[in-house]
Amino acid sequence: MAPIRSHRPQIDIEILRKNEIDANKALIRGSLFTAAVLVILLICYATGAFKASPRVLLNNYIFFPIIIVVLGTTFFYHNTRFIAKPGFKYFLLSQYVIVIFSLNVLLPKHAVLGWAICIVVASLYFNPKVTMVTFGSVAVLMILGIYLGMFYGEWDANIMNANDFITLDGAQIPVGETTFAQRVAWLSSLRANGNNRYLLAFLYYYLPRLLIIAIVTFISSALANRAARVLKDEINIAKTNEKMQGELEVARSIQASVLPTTFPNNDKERVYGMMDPAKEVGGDFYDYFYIDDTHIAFVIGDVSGKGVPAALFMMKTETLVKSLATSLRADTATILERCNTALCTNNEASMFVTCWLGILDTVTGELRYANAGHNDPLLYSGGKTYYLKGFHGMVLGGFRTVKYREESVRLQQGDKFILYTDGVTEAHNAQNELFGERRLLEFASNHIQDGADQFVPHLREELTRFSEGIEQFDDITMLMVEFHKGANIASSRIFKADTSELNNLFNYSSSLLEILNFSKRDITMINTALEEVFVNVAKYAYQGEGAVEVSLSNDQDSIRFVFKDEGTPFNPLENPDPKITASSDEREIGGLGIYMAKTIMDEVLYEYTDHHNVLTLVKRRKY
Amino acid sequence: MEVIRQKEGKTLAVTLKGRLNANTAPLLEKELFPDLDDVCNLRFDFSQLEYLSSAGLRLLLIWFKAMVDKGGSLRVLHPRPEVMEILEMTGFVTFLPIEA
Repeated sequence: MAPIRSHRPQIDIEILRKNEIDANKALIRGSLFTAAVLVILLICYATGAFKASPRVLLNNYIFFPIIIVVLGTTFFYHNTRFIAKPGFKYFLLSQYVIVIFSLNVLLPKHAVLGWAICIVVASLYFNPKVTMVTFGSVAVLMILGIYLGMFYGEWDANIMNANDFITLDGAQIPVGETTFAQRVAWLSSLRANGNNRYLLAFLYYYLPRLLIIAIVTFISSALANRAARVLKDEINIAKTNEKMQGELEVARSIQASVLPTTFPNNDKERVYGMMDPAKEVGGDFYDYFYIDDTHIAFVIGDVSGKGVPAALFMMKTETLVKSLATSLRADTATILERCNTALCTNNEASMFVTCWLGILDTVTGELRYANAGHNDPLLYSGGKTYYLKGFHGMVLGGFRTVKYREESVRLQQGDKFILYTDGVTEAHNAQNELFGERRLLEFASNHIQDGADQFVPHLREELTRFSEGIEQFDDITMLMVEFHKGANIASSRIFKADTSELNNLFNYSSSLLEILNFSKRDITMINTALEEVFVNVAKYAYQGEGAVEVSLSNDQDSIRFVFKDEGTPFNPLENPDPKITASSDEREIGGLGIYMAKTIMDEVLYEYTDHHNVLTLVKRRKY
Repeated sequence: MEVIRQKEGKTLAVTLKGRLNANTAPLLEKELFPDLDDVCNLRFDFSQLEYLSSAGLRLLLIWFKAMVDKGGSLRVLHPRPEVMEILEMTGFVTFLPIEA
């Protein structure tokens, strides 16, 4: 296969190639039909139904092109290897021209339409060059055919009059029944007498027919050009569509990448969400993100309209809510108010978005939320499933001065809530019924015990079943959250290995320890242990500057701190404990810090792994 | 950390507020060092000291030795329970005179 020229788009080639194959097939069918006509003619001549002379010559002569046409074309017809070759059209065309030529020789007076057919079939290729080449060969072969026809072919009233007789041995024989040699002799004698039939055939037979063919060529070319233009428009439309489709695909993947697709599935909370746009891109969104170590925000929204405009507005809203929620550290009503103000600015398209925002305290289970015209979430709490009814504020993007109201609910161990958009409740079935809040509540009540990662796909399947045979009308979006109390913190922060960072370390650890309800005294003691370890790293781990990562995690019974540095391998636990009963004279200060850390904490472990000093401190809760 | 000093003859009374840790200990050392030449009795009021780490203990030990060498003493007054716990843990209570 010839290499595709880079400046020519693939789609161009595809469509033109397809057209050429179609034209080849049409031409082959035409050739077969023409061949069939010739066979019938041949039979007529052979049985004497038509007069021709000399019959034997005609018979032999006409067989040749018929065999070529019938065998050749049927062989190639299904062979796409040939039919797709650019040169194949010339083969077919020349073959067809030869058939018409033989017809012309045989039947000069009927052949002119055959030549016209050559031009018409050539124009099927929508290619002016092919048409002109065909016209040229027709012009040449036609004149050849006319003169051969004078000697070989059937008697033609245009060249030889009906009363043309040749006198042979005293008998007058009609020209049509004479042989080649007899006609030559006769025509020569006529010419000698000033009656030049050759010239007459050229002037009054060939030229008018050539003119007709030229007109046909002109009209055919015009038609072919018109068709080619239509085809080109089609190519352009297809290209534009393809480009748009490609861009939509990119947009779809960008949009999908904005929405979270990995979900926490730990002891703390289980979350699962999905957005299934009705078109390539959707106007729905959902998200969850940590505001700090113990607060997670959950948001769901639905932009008015669908498709690209909705998707753009959705991206803007999603980004705004997330950045406002993480930067403001404010209550949900304030976040929505600020978001509304921002969306109202330069909202030329007058779009709006419904939105529900909730912030869950993972330690206390308090869920604070505000609603901007969105569907009430479903809540499963205390063994019951119900809609969490609340204050419905105005949609975002409507008016600039809208106020929202924050409400809250206290979640208990194992409680769940489901956020969704109206694509769920307004899914249609074939009877034009809505899925509705009643069905949703019923489904949720029956399946609420499933995990979030099962419930959401199940509900999606249920909607597909409900709307069977109906095209998805609106974006379908859901987010389910399960709350598990006894919240665990898993947090880490990187500090400069320098004592100037001590206050930051204290602030960090104290805030987390307070969340975990450690007493002030415990916090002081734990911080003392942390300082001793940290100072140890700051002083000894690095020659120059370095970093130490402190991570904190907990479970029901204990809290665990891990210090990680990339400094010189050093196990501080190897040093002997200082003699704490010694008198002041025998006292050395070294080793005291690590001793204090060991005493304050319940467990202190050191290991050197993966080029890191890892020191783990565990403090058990005392009840 | 806040340091309040009161000097009477050879006795220096120091009240510490806040935290005595690896950050503040060097500051305290620098601050008190010039005054210590003619002092042989040091009294630290720990009633407002929230926090004490080994960096602070180090100063207490150095100054305790220095005062003892001069025939004086270093006393700690009114430590809070957290600080007292540190002093007990590290055995400083065995030599350091502490007044509740």
